[in-house]
Amino acid sequence: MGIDAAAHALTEPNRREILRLVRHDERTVGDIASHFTITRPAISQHLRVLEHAELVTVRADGNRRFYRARPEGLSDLRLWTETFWHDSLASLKVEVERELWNQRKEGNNDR
Amino acid sequence: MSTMPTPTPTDDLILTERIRATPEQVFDFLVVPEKVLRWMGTDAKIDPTPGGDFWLNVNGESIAVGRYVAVDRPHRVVLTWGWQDSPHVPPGSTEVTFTLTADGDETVVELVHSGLPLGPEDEHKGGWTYFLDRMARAVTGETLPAPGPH
Repeated sequence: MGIDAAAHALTEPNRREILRLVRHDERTVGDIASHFTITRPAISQHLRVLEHAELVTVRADGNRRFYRARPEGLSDLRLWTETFWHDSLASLKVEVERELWNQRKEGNNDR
Repeated sequence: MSTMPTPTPTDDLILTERIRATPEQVFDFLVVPEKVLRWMGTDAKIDPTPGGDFWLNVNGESIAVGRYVAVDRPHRVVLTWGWQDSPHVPPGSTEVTFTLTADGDETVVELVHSGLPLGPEDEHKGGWTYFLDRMARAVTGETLPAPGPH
C-alpha cells in the first residue's frame, strides 16, 4: 500500500521538488524537466516512483502525458505519521515492560 | 488565492498505549536519555526541565529539535518538536504532549502531536511543503534500530 511507497518516494529531494511543481498545475515531463538540471529520463524515473506511490496522477492527451499531484496522497502520509508514533509507543511499551520483567527476575534470583 | 492571514489549519494526532508499569516507571523513559534511546533515536542531548533543550538524533541523520515546555513528574511531559535545518518544520514548530495516567496496574500513555497540518486544505499556506518535508524526514523512523543492544 501507499504508506511505505509514499514515504520512500519523499526521501529524494528532486521528487519532493517535482511534487511541489505539480501540486497546483498539470505538467508534462518536458515542462517539469525544464526546472531541473538532471536529465529528462531521470525525471521520468522519478515520476514513475511518484506514480507508483500514488502521489501523482497521470492524464494522457494524445501523445502527451500530464502529471498532477494527488491530494489524497497526503492522507496516506498523515497515516504514516500516525504509524511512526504508533510504532514508537509500541517500542516504549516493550522496553518498559522488559526492564520491569528483568528487575523482577533479578529480585527473585536474589532471594 | 486568499490573502487573509488565517492560521494554518491543523489537526492533532492522538495516540494511546497501555503499559504494565507505574507512571513513575514510564516517566523515566521519557526524560532519562539512556532510557529514551532504548525506544527512540540513536543519540540524545536533553535537559528535561521547562525551557530546557531537546535534541534527538532519530536515525543517524535526521535530528529532532525542540524545547521542554512542561515536565511534571510523573504525569506529563510537553515539548516543542521540529527538524534541524528544515525551513518548513523548524525546531519548535509543533508540540508533543505525553500524558501518563495510572489505571489499575497499568499506565495509559497518551501522545498528542499538535500543530500538524491537515493536508490539502492548507497547501497554499505552505502546509504541503511542510508536510512533504516532515514526512521525508520522519520516514527515517522506519529504520530506527530495534529495541535492545544494537
